[in-house]
Amino acid sequence: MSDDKTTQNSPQTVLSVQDLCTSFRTDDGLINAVKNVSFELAAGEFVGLVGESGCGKSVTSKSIMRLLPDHITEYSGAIEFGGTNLLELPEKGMQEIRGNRIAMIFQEPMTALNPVFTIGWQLNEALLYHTKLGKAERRDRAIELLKMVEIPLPEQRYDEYPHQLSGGMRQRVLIAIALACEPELLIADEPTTALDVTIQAQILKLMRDLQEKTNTAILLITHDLGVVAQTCSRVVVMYAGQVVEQASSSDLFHRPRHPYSKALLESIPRSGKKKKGQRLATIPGLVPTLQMMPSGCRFADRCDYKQDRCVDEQPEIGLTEERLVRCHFPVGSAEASEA
Amino acid sequence: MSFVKAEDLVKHFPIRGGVFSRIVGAVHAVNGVSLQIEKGETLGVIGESGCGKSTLGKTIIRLLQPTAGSVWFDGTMTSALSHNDLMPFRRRMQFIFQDPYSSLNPRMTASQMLTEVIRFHDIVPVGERKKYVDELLETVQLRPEYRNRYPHEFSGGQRQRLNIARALAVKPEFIIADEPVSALDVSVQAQILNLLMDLREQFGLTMMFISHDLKVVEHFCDRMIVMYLGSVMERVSCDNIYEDVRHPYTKALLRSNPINDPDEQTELFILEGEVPSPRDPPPGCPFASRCELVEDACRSTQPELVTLGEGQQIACDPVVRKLREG
Repeated sequence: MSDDKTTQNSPQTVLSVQDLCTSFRTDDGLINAVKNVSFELAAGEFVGLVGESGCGKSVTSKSIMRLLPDHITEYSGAIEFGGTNLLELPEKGMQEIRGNRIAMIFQEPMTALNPVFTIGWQLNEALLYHTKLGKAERRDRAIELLKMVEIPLPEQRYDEYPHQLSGGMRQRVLIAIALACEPELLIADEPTTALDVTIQAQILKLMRDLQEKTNTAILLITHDLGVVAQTCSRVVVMYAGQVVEQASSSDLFHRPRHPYSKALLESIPRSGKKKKGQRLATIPGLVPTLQMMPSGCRFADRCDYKQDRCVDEQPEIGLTEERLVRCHFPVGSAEASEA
Repeated sequence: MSFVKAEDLVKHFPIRGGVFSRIVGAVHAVNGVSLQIEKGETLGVIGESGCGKSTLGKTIIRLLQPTAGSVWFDGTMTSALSHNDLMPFRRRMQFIFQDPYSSLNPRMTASQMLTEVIRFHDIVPVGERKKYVDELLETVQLRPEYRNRYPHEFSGGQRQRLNIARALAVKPEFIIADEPVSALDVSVQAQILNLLMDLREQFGLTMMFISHDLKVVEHFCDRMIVMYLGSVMERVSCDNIYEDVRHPYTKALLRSNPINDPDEQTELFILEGEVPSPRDPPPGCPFASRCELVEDACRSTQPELVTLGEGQQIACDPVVRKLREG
C-alpha cells in the first residue's frame, strides 16, 4: 500500500495489527474466531473492514479494544498502537486508552445509549474520566461536541434523554461521545446499518467531514459494500476469520482478485442495468463453521476457480500486483486461467 | 379489473392516555392509499422506516382491520367480509415476514409447521401430507431430511426458505413479502431473491414486495410505489427508474443510495431534516418540510396522485404543473 495517496500525505502508522489470532475457550475446545489477521491504519485514513456475518470482523474490532471477556479469550500476535502492544497491556492501561485514544461507535443507536441518563451526562462521563476539565468546562465542551455533530439546539438536547431523540440523532450523539477526547483511532462497527438511507447519507457525510477536520483514522466495519465505496480509500475483506484481500477501494471494486471478493460484488443487484428476469450471481453453499474449518483454503468449497491444490494447502496472504490476496490462483492471474 | 386493488385505504392506530385510557390521538400510519396490482405482476413498495409500508401490507391482507377505505381481491371486497367469509381468501393470500428469527415458532419442527397450515386449510388428503411436506421443502431447495429440525438448527437464509415454504404450502395466488431479505447477508440475499423469482414464475404468483432497499426493488419488481408518511408519493415502472422518476422525494432517495463504485463518487447527497411525526402529520404535502421545490400551496393542501401515462402516477403539484407547461 506504499503508493496509497493518504499514506503519502501522512505516513505515520496509527494502528498495526500483526498476525492477530483470537480464540475462545469453550466446552467444545478452543475455537479460533480470527486467524492471522494483519493490517495497518495510517493517521487520517478511512479503511473499510468488510465481510458477511460471522466472518470475524466484529471480533477483530473488539480484540483491538480488548472488549472480549478476558477469562475465555486467548490472543496471539500483536496489536501495535502508539508504540505499545495492546495485547500485553494490563486492564488499567487499557482503560486509559479506551474511549480516549481509541473510541468505538456501535451498531445499535437505540441500545448503545443508557436510557436513564441525559445526553449531557453521557457526554460528561468520557470527559470526566479522561480529561482534567472542570464541571462548567465539561458542559461547554459537551455542547461544542453536539454542535460539531450538527445537532440542532444543542443546549436543549444536552438535558434530554435518549428516547427523546430519533435514531439518526442518537447516532450523532454516539459519534460526539466517541470524539469527545479527540481519539487517534475511531472504530465504527456498522454505524449506519440500523438507519434509513437518507439518514445514513447524513451520518456518513458527517463522519467524512469530521475525519478531514480532526485527522482521526477511521476503521469502518460494515457488510454494505455501497457504504465502503462511498467513504473508504482502502478495503480489507474478511472471510471465515481470515483476511482474504486487501486493496484500494477502486482496485477492489473494479478488479477484485480474490474469488470471494468477486462473488460478493456480483451478488449485489446493480442499479440501472436491469434485464428482465435476470438472476443474481450467488455464492453456493455455506460458510464453514468455526469447529470444522477446512485444512486447505477456507473458501475452496464455494469457489468457482477451485483446483486440487486449494483443498490440500492453505494459501498464504501474499502481494499480487500491489495488493494482498490470500489465494493460490488469484482472479485474472496466469495460473487461474489454466484451470 | 385489477387482481388486487386498494381504494383510499386508511389505517390509524389510536393512542390512549390519561387515567381512563381515553383515546387522545392517533398514529396516522396509512393515509388514503390507492393501488392496483394486476395478475402476475410484482409491485414494489418502498419507503423509509415508519412510512407505513408494512402496515399497508398487513391491512391489505387483513391482518389489520382498515380504519377506512376498501380492499378488493379478485373481484371481491375483502375488507368488508366477516371472519368466516374471509377464510377461503386467507388461503389465497399469504404473507412472508421480515425477521426469519422471530417469525418461526421455536418449538415446532419444520414439518410440524408446514403440516399445521396444510391441515388447517385441508390442502391435501391426510395420507399425502408427508409427501407434500417433502415436496415443499424441495421446492424451496431445503433437503427433505431437514423436516424434523427445529428453527434454531437452520441458518438465517434457510429459515427464510422455510418461511417461504410455509407461505407456499396453501397454494396461494397472492403473496405479500415484507422485507424478506433485509436481515440477510448479500450473498444469501441473492439466493433468496433468485428463489423468489423462480417460484413467482413457476406458480404464476402475484406479489407485493415491501422493502427499503431500492436496488433490490428495482431488480425484483415490475412497478413500484414510493411511500412517505403514510401517503403514496409516486408510482413508477421499475424498468428505467433513474430516468423516469420525477417526485423530489424519490429523487432524493435515489441520490442517497450508495453507488457501488468508488470512482464515481460525487459529493454525498444530503436530504436535510427528518420525517415529521405520524401522530401529527402536516396538513399539506407530507414531504413539504424537506422538499427543494416547496411552494406555499404545498404546505396547506395535500397534492392528488396525478396519472402521467405509462402507469406512472405522481403526487406533486409543482412537478405536474411544470410538465403540463412543457
